[in-house]
Amino acid sequence: MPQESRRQRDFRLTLAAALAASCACRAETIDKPTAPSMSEIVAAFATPNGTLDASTGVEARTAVDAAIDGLIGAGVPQLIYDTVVKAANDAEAKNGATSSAIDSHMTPSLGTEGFDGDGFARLTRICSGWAATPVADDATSGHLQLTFGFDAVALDPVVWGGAEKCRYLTSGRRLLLDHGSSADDVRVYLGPRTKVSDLGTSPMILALDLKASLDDRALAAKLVVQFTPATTRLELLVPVSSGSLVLSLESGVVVQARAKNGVFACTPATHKCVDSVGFEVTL
Amino acid sequence: MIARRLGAPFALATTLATGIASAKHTETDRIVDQTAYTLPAGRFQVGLLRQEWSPIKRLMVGTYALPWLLRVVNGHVKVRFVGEDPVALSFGLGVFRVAPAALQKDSGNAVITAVPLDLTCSWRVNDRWTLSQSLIYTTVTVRGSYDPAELQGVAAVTNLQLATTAELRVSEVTAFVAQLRYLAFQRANGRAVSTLHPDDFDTLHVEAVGSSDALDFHFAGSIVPSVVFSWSVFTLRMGVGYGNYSVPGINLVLPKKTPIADLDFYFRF
Repeated sequence: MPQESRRQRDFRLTLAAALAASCACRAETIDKPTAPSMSEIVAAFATPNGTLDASTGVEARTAVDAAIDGLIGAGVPQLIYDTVVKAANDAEAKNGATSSAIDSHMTPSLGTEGFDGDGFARLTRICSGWAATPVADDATSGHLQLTFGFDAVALDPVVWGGAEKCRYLTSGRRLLLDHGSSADDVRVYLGPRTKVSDLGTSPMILALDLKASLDDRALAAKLVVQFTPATTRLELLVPVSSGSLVLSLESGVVVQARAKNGVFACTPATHKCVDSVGFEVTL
Repeated sequence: MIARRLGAPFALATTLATGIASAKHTETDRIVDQTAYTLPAGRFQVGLLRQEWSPIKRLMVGTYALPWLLRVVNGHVKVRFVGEDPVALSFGLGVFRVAPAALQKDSGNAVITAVPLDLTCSWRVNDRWTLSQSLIYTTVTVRGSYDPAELQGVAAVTNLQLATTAELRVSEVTAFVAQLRYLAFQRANGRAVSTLHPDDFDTLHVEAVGSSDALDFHFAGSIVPSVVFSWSVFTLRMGVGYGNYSVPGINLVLPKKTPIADLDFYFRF
């Protein structure tokens, strides 16, 4: 065989071997879904852009009453919050088990140093239904679904998902949650770089856009709230004609209002709110 | 079939009896382990660790026989694409594959695959000295599941080693070899997909990828001096060194530094 032919053959052999080897060395990837944005809502809580005056005060009072009579009264924010915390803890526990099953160093474990990792978890929770004794039956009771991403150290900021004909009994009343008017029925802002162990202590923002009913009575099902688990305070983001206001509630009554034109201390008995210079608004 | 089974031992016995082939340290018979050299065309090397054959000049194929007893399918190929003295270059590629289910029931459908590849340069300084430098890159992957109901995924360990080998021939029978290995990096990465049912109401689907440098032992390496005796068809290699042991073939480096025994023998015919 001529020398050149040999070289060409050897080159082809080497090339084939290199290609085969390169196939075995590719990086592993997953198709991680993209979380919806909540930046506008987070910004609105930090800096309300609505003005509180006599006109918007009435709008705010109406919105607060609707929220208390609606999803807040039905305990939906607490239901979503509990589901998020449980899903995160289950995923963390599962992730540890996954690591052990293959190799303790080969999959990301939240909060563990020395890892580069990425992933997501999707929880589907069958709702407990309207029967006195809960039965896990998706066809009858519907479900909630939540997706959250994580890296090697912390949870991604936004958890999102939705409801599908989800039925619960709440204080003996029949609650039905279903898809709302937007693609993301439920969005939860956990904050930046939140670890699973921090859930339950750090503030959380819930944005709900659901179709809901309580004992067949339609509820106002758009709600944006922030609560800090260590406190009894709930902050409600209220859209008014001039923008958004943030109203703080304790035990279902407004105790503070934050607006573009200042911070107002509110007296529950009189529904009057006064800012630092004495400007008074009645809700 | 019987003739085929008896063929290799018969050929070996015949060769041993007649001594028609030489394994001495000569111009054409060189140490092929961790060098760029290959066996002369048509020659076999059958040893304790490896069994190799050169069907044509500058191409060598082989396997590790003992792992087959544990159903580890394996093979390797080496191409010497620059073959003239004083400098030779070779490329090597191997594959090891085992399914634990073949050894143990209920161990899922996991498949472990190791792919070592190396690029080696040998420089024959003179009739007595030969220096070789190897870049050895290895990927070990675990694909599938040990528990099919819970977990599917893939995990991999990759490493890069640098190996320097110096050979001093003192006669046609005796050569001294010293090998220095250094672990440039060893990294683990993986992808896991699992579905969990923590209770009757909840289903949790988790997908994750991750990597870690936790297996990257700092200053990991070894030095192993050996002596290689080559008689007419038989070669014995033995030595003792120290450092982080690198598992032959799959090249995984162990974390602790220990004494390392180098023992091998083979027949060439």
